[in-house]
Amino acid sequence: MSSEHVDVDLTVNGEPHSVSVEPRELLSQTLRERVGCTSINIGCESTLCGACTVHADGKAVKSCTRLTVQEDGAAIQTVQSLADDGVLGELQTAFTEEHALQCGYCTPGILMAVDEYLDDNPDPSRSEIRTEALQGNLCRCTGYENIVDAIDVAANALEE
Amino acid sequence: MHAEPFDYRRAESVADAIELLESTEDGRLLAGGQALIPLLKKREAAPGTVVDIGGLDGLRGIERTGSGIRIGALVTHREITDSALVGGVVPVLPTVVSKITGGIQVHNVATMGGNIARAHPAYDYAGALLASRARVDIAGPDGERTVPAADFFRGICSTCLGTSELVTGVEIDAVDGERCGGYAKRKEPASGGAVLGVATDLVFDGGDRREVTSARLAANGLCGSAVRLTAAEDVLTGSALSDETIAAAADAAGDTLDESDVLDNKKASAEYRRALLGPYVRRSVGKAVDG
Amino acid sequence: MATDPDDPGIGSETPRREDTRVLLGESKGTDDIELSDPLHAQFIRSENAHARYTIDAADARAMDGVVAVYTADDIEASETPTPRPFTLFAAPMTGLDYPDEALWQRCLGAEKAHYHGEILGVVVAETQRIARDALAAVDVSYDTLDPVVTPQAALADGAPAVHDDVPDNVVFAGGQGDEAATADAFEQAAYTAELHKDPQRISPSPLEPRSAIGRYDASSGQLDFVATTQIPHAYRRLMAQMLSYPEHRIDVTVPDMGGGFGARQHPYPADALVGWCAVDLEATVKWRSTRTENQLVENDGRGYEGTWELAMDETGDILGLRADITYDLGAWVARGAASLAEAGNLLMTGLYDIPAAYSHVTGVVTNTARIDAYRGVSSVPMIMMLERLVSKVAKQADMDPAEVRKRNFVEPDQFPYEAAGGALYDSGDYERNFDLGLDAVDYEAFRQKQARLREEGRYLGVGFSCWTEVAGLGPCGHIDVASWGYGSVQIHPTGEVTVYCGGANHGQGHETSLAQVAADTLDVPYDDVRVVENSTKEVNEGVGTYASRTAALGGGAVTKCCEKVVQKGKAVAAHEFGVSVEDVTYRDGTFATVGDDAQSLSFGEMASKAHLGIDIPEELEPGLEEQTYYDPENCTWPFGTHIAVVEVDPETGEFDFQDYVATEDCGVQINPTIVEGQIVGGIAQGLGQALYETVEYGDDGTLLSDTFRTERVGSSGGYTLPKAEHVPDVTIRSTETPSPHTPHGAKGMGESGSIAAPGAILNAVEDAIEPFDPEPMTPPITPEKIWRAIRGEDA
Repeated sequence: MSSEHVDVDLTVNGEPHSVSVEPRELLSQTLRERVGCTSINIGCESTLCGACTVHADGKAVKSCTRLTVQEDGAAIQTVQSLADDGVLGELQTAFTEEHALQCGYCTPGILMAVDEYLDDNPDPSRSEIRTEALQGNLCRCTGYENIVDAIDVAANALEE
Repeated sequence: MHAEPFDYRRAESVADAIELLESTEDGRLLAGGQALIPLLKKREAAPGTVVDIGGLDGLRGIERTGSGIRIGALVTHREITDSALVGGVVPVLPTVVSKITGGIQVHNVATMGGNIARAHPAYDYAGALLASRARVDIAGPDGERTVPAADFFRGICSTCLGTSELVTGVEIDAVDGERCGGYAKRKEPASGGAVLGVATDLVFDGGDRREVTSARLAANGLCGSAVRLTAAEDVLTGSALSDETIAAAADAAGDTLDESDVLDNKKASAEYRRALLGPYVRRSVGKAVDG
Repeated sequence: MATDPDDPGIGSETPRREDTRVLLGESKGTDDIELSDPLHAQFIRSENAHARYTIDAADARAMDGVVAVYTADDIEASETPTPRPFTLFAAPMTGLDYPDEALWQRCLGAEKAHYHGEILGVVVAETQRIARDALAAVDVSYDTLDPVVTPQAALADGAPAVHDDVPDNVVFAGGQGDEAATADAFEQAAYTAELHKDPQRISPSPLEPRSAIGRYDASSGQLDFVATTQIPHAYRRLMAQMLSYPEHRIDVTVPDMGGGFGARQHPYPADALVGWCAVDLEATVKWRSTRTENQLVENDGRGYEGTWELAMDETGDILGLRADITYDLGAWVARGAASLAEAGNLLMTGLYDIPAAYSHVTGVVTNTARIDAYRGVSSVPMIMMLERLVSKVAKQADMDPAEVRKRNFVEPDQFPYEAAGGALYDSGDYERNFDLGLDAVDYEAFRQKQARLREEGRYLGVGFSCWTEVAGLGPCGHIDVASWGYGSVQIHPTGEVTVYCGGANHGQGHETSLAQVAADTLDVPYDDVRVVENSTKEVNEGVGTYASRTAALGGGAVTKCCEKVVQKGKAVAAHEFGVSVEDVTYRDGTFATVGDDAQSLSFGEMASKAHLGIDIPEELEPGLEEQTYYDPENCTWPFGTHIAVVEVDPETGEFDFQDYVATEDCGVQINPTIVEGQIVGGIAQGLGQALYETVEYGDDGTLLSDTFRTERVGSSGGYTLPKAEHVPDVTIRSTETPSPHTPHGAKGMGESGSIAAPGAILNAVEDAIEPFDPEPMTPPITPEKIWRAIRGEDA
C-alpha cells in the first residue's frame, strides 16, 4: 500500500521549506534528510533519549515523535538558533566551561530542552535540574553532574 | 524507525472524526502522538488510516462550568500544570500530571485525551480522575454521553470507548472547603511509568481540629486499571488529621483490594506492590497536607 | 607554562576544543556525512536464537528501488571473495588454548542461525526507507532448534550444541595463579567468605547507534570506510583480511562518534558486509542501525558467573583468593573475549598484598549475541566480588572493613609489585589515597551516627570499593596483537605544530589533551598546536582508543616525538651558535647558549632553518618531523577507592545516596577536568550495573531488553540507562603517584567508575541493612530485592 504525499510548509531556523512527504515521515527525518540539520541526533526508538529535541513554535518537542504532517505551518528551531552568528550563548558557554559534554551526541537535544526550561524556571535547584529540566533527556558519557553544574551556572548568568 | 505506510486524514470537526473512524476499518486517532507514534515506529501498531484530530480547537481549552471546570481532550500536560484555574479547583490534578514521564518535550504536546484513552496501567491520569470524581465526556456515532471516570477505565489498555468514539473532555466539580492534592509515585526507572502511584484528593477544615470533610484516594499501577482506596478514605473521612490517622489509613489501604487483581510482573511482584501501598498512601496524604 | 591559564599545558583544566562544533550544531557523525546517491543496506536478521532457515526474497527483489538481496549462498556464489571469519586477540599470559577457528565469529549465519539477530542476508536499496520496507517483504522460514541461553544450560548434560564441532559448548578452560598455594591458604585460614553472585551481563549502549559507509571506486581500486569504530587502523587491517582486499587500498575515517565504551573496539559483521556490498556493487553503500538492532547485536559486557572465595587469618591478613568462573561468550568467540578473561585475573587481588590467588575460567558458548569489551571489562566482576568479600570477611571477623583494607594494602616500598594474578603494578601509595576518602566521608563520625540512628530505626550504610585498572594497554607481546602507541609530530616552518595520533577520539578530549602534552613538551603556545586523529588517511598508523590507553601510549608517543624534536632543535641551534650541543639550553620557547656570548634562537626560527635545510649540521636531514612507535615496558595501574554512603528505607527497600566519594590516582593528570568527567561518567555506568541494568533473554533465546523504553504490558519497562535523577553528585579527591615508566608520568584512566561503583554501592546497601542479617544480593539490586533481603529472602 502506498500513501498519498502531503504538502507541508514549515520554517527551519527562519528559512522557509516546502516539502511533500509521506504521512509516516517523522519530523526528525524531514529535518535531517531534506533540510540537512545533522545536529538532530537519533539515539533511541522510544521517545526517551531526547537527542532529537527541537523547538516547534517555541516549544521543545522530540522531533522523532512528531509526524512532519503535524507540523504544517510550524516554525522549527534547532540548536543552531542558540548561537548568534557563531558566538555561543550563555547556556552553550556554560556547557563548555563546565565540561558538560564528552561525545556530544546528547548535547544539542539537552540544550534545546533546557533552553525552554530556563525560560520558565529561571532559578532551579540542583534537584529540580535533575528531576525536571533533564527529565526528558539521556546522557551515557558524563554521568550528568557537569551538565547540572552548567545549567546552574547558566541560570545564574541569565538572571543577571 | 519507519512506520508502515498509512493513509492520513485531518479531521475538520468531531463529527468528521467520528465519520472517518466509522468509514475506515482500522483507523486510529492521532492527538499529541506521544503514545501512538512510538508504536507506529516500532511497527507494534499498523493502522490503515491515521485520523489527526490535532487541529480541532473545540477540543482545546480549560473552562469554568457551573459546577466546576471542563478540560478539553486536547489539553496538554503542560497546560494543566500551568493552569492556575485547575490548580485552584482541583489541585490533585496538576500534582499528578507534573509527574507524568517524558519531560518538557512530551508535556508540551501530549494530551489528556490521548493519555486516558490509552488507559495503560502505568499511566498517571487515571488515579487523579478517580480521586477527583471526574466525569468523562464522550462523542460517537450514537451521540454524546458522559461516564464517571471509574466506569471509563475497564482494565489493561481498555476503556468503555466504542470503536468510533472519542473522548471530548473531562468535567471535574469544585468542592467547598480547603481542597488539597498529593501524589506519591514509584517510578519504574526505564519507562518512567508508575509501578504504583497514589493520588490523594483531600478537603479538611482549617481549624485546630483539622477535620477531614472529604478524602478520596486512588491508586494506579497497582491493578489493571486505577482503583479507589475506599478503606483508607473511610479512616480519614470525618477524622482529625494527624500522623496517627494517616498511619491508620495507610494500614487499612489495601483492605478492600482483591489480591488477585494486583499486577504481578517484571516491574514488581504483586506481593511487593501490595507492601508499597501503605507507605505510599502515607506519603501521598502527607504531600497533600503539607502542600 | 603548565599552570598558566592563558597557555594550557600538562595539568591545565582547559575547556575542550571539541566542544565548539557540537555546541554550534556542526558536529558530523557517520550518519551525517553527505554522500551522492548512496545505496542503503539493511540486514536480514534471525528472529530465532537457534534455527535452520530458508529465505524467500522474491517479493523483496521485485520491489521498486531494491538493488539486491544477498543470502549466504548468493555471497558464496559471487565472484567477490566471501568474507572470512574474524581473527582473535590471544591471551598468551593465561596459557588458555587459542579458540578453534570453527568458533571465530562469522559475518553470517550460513548453515544456521546461532543467535537472535544474527545476520542471514543483506538487502540493498536506493533509500533506507525502501530497504526497510523490503526487509519486511523478505520471507524467512525457520526450523527452530533448542537453544542454550545461559552458561549453566550450555554445560548441562545433553545440552544442545551451539556449534556442531563443539558438542560440549566449552571453548576454553584454564587457570591463572597458583592453585596449590591458594588451597594451602584456605586450609590455614581463620576466616573464609564465599559468594556465588554473578555480576550480570549488561549492554554498553552508546547513544549513537552503529553505522558504516563503504565506498568502492572501481577506477582506483580504493575501498574507503566511514564508520563508528574505535580502531580505524586495526579496522582497516581487519577489513583487508576479512574481505581479502589489499590493505594499502583501504582507508578508514571515524567522524564524531556518539560513544564507544569498548563496544566499538572491534568490528562487526555489518562492517565487513557493508564493505563487501560496496565492492560487489561497485558503489557507495551505507548502513545505519536502529536502536533495536543495536541492542540486539552490539556486544554485551561482563557475562561472568561463579564462586569467589577469600581467606583471612585471625589478625586480619588476607591469605588467599580463589575464583571459579564460567564466562558466557555468546554464540561466537568475539575478537577480544578470550583476552578479557586474562585481564581481570591479572589484577584479581586488587590493592592488597595477597600472597596466593587462583582463578579458573571456563569460556562457554550460548545462543546469544557476543560478549566482548565494555568499560572496565573483567576487572569489573573481579574487583566487585573481591571488594564484597573483603567487607564480608571483615564482618565475620568483627573487624572494621576500612582497617582490614588498610592492613592489607600493598606498601609504597613494594613497588613494582608482582600481584598473585600476574600483574606488575608500577607505582602506588594506596593508604595515603584511601585516607583522603575516609576524610572526605568523615568516617569516624559516620560510624557513630550510624549506630545512633539505628536505635531510631534508621538504616545508614557505608560501602568501600578499592580498585585498580589495567590502563595503557600495553606492551607488545602482551596480547599478541599490535598494541604500541603511535604518534608523529610535524613542525611547520612557522613553528606551528601538527600532532598525529593513532587513536579515535570519541569524547575523551584528545584534541585538547594531546595538544596540552605537545605544547608543554615543546614549550610552544597551546594555540599553535593542532591534533589529528581518527583517520588512516591522515595518520599513518595506530592501534585505537580503548583500554584507557591514550594518555599513556598516545601521550607517551607524542611526548617522545616532541623530545626528539627538541633534541634536533638543539643540534640545529648548536650549529647556528657554533657551540656543542651540550652548551645549548631550551627554555620558554627559546634555544640559547650558556655563558657570556648569550645567543638565542626562537623555536620558530629554528624550525624555519631546519625546514630549509641549508644551515644545519651535515649529518642531519632537513625537515622537522618525528615519529614514534611507543612500546611501553608495562601497562599502567591507576588506583583509588570509591566510598558510597546510603540510607535505606526498610519499609520499601528504597534508598538515597547521602554521599559518594571517589578517590583517584592516575599519575600525572594531563587535564584534571577531563579526568573528573571520566570518573563521574564511569560511576554512572557502574551505578547502572549495581542498580538498574540487565540484559534479558527469554527462555527461547529472544532478546527481551531490546529497547530503552517500552510500554509492552508485562515487560520490565526497558533496558534502563541511568537518568539524571538516578546519579548522585560525586566528591572527587586525587593523589598523583606518577608512572615510573611513561615518558610524562601519566598513567591514563577512564574505567575506574565502572569498576569501583558496583562494589561500593552494594557494600553500602548491605552495610545499611546489616542488622537484618540479609543474604548477599545479586545485582541489579532493585528496591524489591533489597526489601526481600531485609525480610530474609534470597535476592
